[in-house]
Amino acid sequence: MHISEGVLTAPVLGAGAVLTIAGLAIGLKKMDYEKLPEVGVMASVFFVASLIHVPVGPSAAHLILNGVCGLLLGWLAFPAIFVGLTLQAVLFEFGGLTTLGVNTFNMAFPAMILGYACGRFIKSPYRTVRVVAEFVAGAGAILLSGLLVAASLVLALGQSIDAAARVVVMAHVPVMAIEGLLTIFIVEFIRKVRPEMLEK
Amino acid sequence: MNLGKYRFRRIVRPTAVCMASMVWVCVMFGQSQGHKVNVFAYVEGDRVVVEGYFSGNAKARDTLVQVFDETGKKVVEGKTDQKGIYSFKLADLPPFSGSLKIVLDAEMGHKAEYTLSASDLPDSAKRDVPSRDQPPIHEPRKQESANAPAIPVGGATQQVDQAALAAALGTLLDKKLEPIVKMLGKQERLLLEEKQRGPRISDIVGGLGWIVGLVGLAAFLWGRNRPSGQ
Repeated sequence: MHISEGVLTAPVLGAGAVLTIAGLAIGLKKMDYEKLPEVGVMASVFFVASLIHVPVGPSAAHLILNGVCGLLLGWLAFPAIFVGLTLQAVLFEFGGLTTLGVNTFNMAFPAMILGYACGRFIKSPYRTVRVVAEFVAGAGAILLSGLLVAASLVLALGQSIDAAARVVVMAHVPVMAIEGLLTIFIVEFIRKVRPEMLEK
Repeated sequence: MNLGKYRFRRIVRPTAVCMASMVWVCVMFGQSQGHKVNVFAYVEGDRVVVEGYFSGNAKARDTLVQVFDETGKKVVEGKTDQKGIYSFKLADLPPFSGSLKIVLDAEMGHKAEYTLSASDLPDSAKRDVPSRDQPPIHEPRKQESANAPAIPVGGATQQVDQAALAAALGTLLDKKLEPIVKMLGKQERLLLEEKQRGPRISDIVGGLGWIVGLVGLAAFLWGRNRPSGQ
């Protein structure tokens, strides 16, 4: 899901950078002193998640866990994912520095959207509703991120890349399933141990 | 959260289950990365040597190797030995064109490729060249042998000497260069491994350290402006 250097064109990179700066501004404004440790933990989770590979056909995709970030942080997912991506680019050469803007937006925006959309259902007293909402948040974040990555590729490289863009989304279907399940486990675990974290 | 006698059921067990499943996920998926198969090849004298290995220096023993030319035609195939090496003589190949693509198939979807480009292969390798290339090579020879009878015996022996000299130099150079070629092969393998190795532990710990540091710095800066007692 991380787009590398030298793939996208300048206009797309610029647009991504602008959108990410906007997201970061909103995120930092909503930042709360109490929330700082949580943002740090989620940034670490995101950072380490991409080390877990899911074999897909001949190659492998990796976990992202942006769904959980969105559920727990909302707009604060922007700074968390931005820091995670920067460190991944600098330390693992994973993704890129020019593509930081595009990558951050592609992963943090779906996190935020799905976090707010599914957030209220997380608090439902009915277990089925909660589990479904958590799965949708996890899987949906990957789906939306995949679509944004495909859109970035098509915008930069033209229609000819349409097929490859579709492959990106299809290749992440197993990741969607796994992330949906992981989101359920993680959120339910947090609910048992520290339910106050879920009160956004 | 002091739950007393319910402590195990409500906290310890779910924590253990969660941790165990995350570790299981990491190990399972880490395995598939950890057993990635690699292959590289180099020319040694009149042979091509193919080395197959798994990341972590385990040799790929008894593994299928197939060699294709530029047009996709399979030119030779075989299996690696106990040392993970498969080699074949260039002279044994059917005429082929261009580069050689060496494919190592270690089952369960583990495949690796290495291409020896045309410039890596010595000119003496049999080539599937179009016929019009051949006459120019032969004509000067024909001319030389045509000239030979005109020159007295000394000229003919000079020619034979030159051919023998070239052949002797060739074998001598191959022998001398053998250790250097082997060294280059090792270097190539190290470079390939370096490229494919994933993030090291030091990088991961470094990244987490950065995050902790940033959070600490932010808390310090933010905390100064807060009224005391909060």
